[in-house]
Amino acid sequence: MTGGRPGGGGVTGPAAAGGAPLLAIRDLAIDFGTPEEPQPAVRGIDLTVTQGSTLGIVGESGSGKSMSMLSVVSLLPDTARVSGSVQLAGREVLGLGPRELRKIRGSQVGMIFQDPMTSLNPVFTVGDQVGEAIRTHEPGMSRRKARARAIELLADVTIPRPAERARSYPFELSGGMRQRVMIAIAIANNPALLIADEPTTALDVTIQAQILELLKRLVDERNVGLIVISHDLGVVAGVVDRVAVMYGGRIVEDAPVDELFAAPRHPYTRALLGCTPRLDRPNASLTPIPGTPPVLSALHGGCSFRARCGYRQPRCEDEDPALQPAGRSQAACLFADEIGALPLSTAAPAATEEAAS
Amino acid sequence: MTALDLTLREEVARPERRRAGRAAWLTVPVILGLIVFGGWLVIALTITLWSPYDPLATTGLPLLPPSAEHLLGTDALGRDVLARTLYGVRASLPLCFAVIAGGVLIGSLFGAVAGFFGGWVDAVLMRITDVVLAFPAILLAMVMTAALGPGLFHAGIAMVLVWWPIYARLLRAQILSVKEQAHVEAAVAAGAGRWRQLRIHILPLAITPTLVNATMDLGQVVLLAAGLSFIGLGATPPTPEWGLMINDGTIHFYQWWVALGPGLAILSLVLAFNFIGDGVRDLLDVRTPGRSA
Amino acid sequence: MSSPATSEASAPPPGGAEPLLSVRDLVKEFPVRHSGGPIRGRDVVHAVSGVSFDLYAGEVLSLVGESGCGKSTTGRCILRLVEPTSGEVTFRGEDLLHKRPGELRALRRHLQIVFQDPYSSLHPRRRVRDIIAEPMIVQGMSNRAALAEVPRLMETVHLDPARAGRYPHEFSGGQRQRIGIARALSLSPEILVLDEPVSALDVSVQAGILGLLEDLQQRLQIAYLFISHNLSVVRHLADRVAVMYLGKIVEIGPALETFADPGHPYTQALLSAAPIPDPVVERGRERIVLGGEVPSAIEPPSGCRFRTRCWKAAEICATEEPALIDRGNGHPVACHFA
Repeated sequence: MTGGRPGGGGVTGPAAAGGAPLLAIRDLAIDFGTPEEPQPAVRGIDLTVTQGSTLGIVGESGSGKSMSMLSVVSLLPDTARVSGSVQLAGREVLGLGPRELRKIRGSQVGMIFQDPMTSLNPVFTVGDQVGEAIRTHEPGMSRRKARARAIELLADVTIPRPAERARSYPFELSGGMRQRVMIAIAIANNPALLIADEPTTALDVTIQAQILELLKRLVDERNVGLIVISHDLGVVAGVVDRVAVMYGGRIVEDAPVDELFAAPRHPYTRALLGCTPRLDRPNASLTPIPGTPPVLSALHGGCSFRARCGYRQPRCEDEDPALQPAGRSQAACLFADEIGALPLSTAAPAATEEAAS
Repeated sequence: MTALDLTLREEVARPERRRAGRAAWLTVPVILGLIVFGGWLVIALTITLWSPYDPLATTGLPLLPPSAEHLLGTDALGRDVLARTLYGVRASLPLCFAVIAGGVLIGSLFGAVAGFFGGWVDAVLMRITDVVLAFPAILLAMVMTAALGPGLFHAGIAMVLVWWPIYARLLRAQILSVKEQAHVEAAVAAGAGRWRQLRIHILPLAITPTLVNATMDLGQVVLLAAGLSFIGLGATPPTPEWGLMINDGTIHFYQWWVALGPGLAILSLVLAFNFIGDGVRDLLDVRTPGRSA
Repeated sequence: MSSPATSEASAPPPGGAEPLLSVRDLVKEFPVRHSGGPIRGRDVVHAVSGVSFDLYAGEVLSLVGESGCGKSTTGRCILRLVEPTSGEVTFRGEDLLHKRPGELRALRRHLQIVFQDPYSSLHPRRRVRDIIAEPMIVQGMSNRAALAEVPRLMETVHLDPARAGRYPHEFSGGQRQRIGIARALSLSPEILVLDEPVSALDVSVQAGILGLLEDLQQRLQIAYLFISHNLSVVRHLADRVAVMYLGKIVEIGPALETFADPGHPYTQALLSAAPIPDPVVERGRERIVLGGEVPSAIEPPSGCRFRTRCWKAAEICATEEPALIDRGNGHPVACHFA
């Protein structure tokens, strides 16, 4: 089916009916410490998702990708201090009270979590859990109707013999099935936006293919917005129109998927591509990225990637680059244009040098 | 090929959250517990040197309320309550350590063998454990006393026999989970024999809950010993022992000071052990910052 | 004993004519305990059901498959970390499975293992130098001599020897994996079983570890049994590959050839499902999406175990199990319609 469309919605893409994009995040920052000892997790990001478009958020552990999406549904731990703006269809979500949030979760935004084994309640049947999701937002609906609807949803996510399966408990289902149940719960109330946090990481590769196909089909059929969070560039390449790469709590590159993979403009994106093994290029050399992801509380001044960057220049020490736009892409690097012009096969010149720690 | 002259400089290890300071386990309750326990220890060791009164001798009129000469008054036989209270720790403290040591040793032996070897060895040992666990402490103490005669020592034996099954189960459970861990497999792959696996790779990690429990149980033994003495199965008069003293106190209910001394003593010691136990748990928990290992 | 099927399972050797390690008809079954319910007889999980292959000196053979296919169990059986139910494992002609503990210990120095999880594979309360020195000490070296080897081993895996006195939790995931590799190398083994060695690591760290493994393999000429579910990683590293499904090898052959022109439908599906970080390529792919789920290992399908999800399945697939033989692909494939 159609995976990534080269046009890509996104920052300058078409807006939803009514004018407002489905999701507009501005300057979102999340911190877990105290004002005296801040422990930032997300350091200011901007994102937009419009109806029918798909966004991939790529990053490694500690990049802040999951945290930033949890803020959309206000599922962050109590110790989190959030600032900035998160708007769903034009309406500010941060700071809403619990009752309002409950109305939003599930009906406007559906979340699919990573680990289906722990995300489903082990003591209820899957039919009950899907039914519960339905009745949370339609309290007047009778149990029987909700059950019927739940079975429809299970069929929608291609679970075989859904009426029978609805009576199963999560432990009786395989990983792939459980993830489908999660997806059914997420779409139960026809949300306009779906957020999938590492939806296939815990699954085998053939099951992963099934789930990704399912997600793509759902996006096409229901014209929803989809955000896929992943550390796997391959997963993202086949599913989304647009990719945002996160590093050190910030978005370091945001571009239509074709452009990002063909001509990445941030050294981190380049480095990620350069160290990901490809099935179709077995003899390509893999260049590891030296060092480890940064401890966010220890970052001060200059570019957060400079310690590991093969293209580091003296200017990078002092200037913290903002996203530099170029057409439909933007990259947070002072030398984004030059980086973007380099052919992919060129290795970084300073990759073998000691990096300042 | 990959550029392998890449000298991977020292990667910045993720620092554990060291905000809490070096010794995070040393909280106020723990310090308090250590002070109280330390105090009792000193008393136990030195009281004979400085006690104002002989705990066994009649040094005043019976049932005198607290006064300047007898800070906690006197009991029914005119003996100074405070002196008897302080002397009481000499009965309780060694007993609780001995009982716990005995229980842990026997129980851990059972548990380690059962958990490590599994199979029918495990089944047999655990069924024995189950049987013993079903015995109420009081009943066993009565049996012991009937068989061997009264006295704190025999009560102590009874307590050990009742206590060890808990530690058997505890250690067995820990061993069952630790022995599946990959580093144990690595040791097996290197050719480590069973004894080495157990001694170096399994026990040090499995023993943690046992140590925490043991520390807390010290207080429980004190309580149990006092309880047994209270009903006449433990210490015998005229030994200054807290349980016995509380028994006296119930007989002379309106002379509240007779039971006050031993009551507060038990309370303070048990609480101290509980607090220290919390501290031990935090200390041994690998995830707590401030630990080096 | 050595049927035509099994002798063909060993492809032409890259170095030397005699295999270093020979596995024949390896079987491992785990009993299943039913909690509650009537006793329904002895149910077993058929984790490994007759696996045969050879491993030659200095080559990288990869066992590939998804969860439950038995690849990890096979690796553990070879090292007798798990006792096989039946079969033969021969190292340099010596039968490993029937050795007594004393003899087995001496042989263990030749086969070592690197584990998947860098967090649980290191003893959390021992210093790194003790962890690395452990195998040598176990094998009889004196403490002093063993500890003297540690700096060299740490440098081999690009770790700073000055940190040998630290504890594992002071290192990152990638560094801990290096410690595990150093430990495995301490006995200079000829065979290294690597059980998903990079699966638990971030992508940027994976590349470093893979590079290290490649370099070590070539320099030290160690034979690798590389167990993984990640085809891209396997393709990058392996000389030969054995694809496993539900306890059986369904295809085995040279990596390039097998990946370029897979004979078995399952291999084709695996390759088709593996994501490629390139949107243009992804859009152009003809994706095979397998229906259904992996069947239960307690009651595997009769005949060909893959038939319940295979688009080529026919009647013969249910009645006759296809043998792992060359059917014209140049390497053994277990399918009637290869």
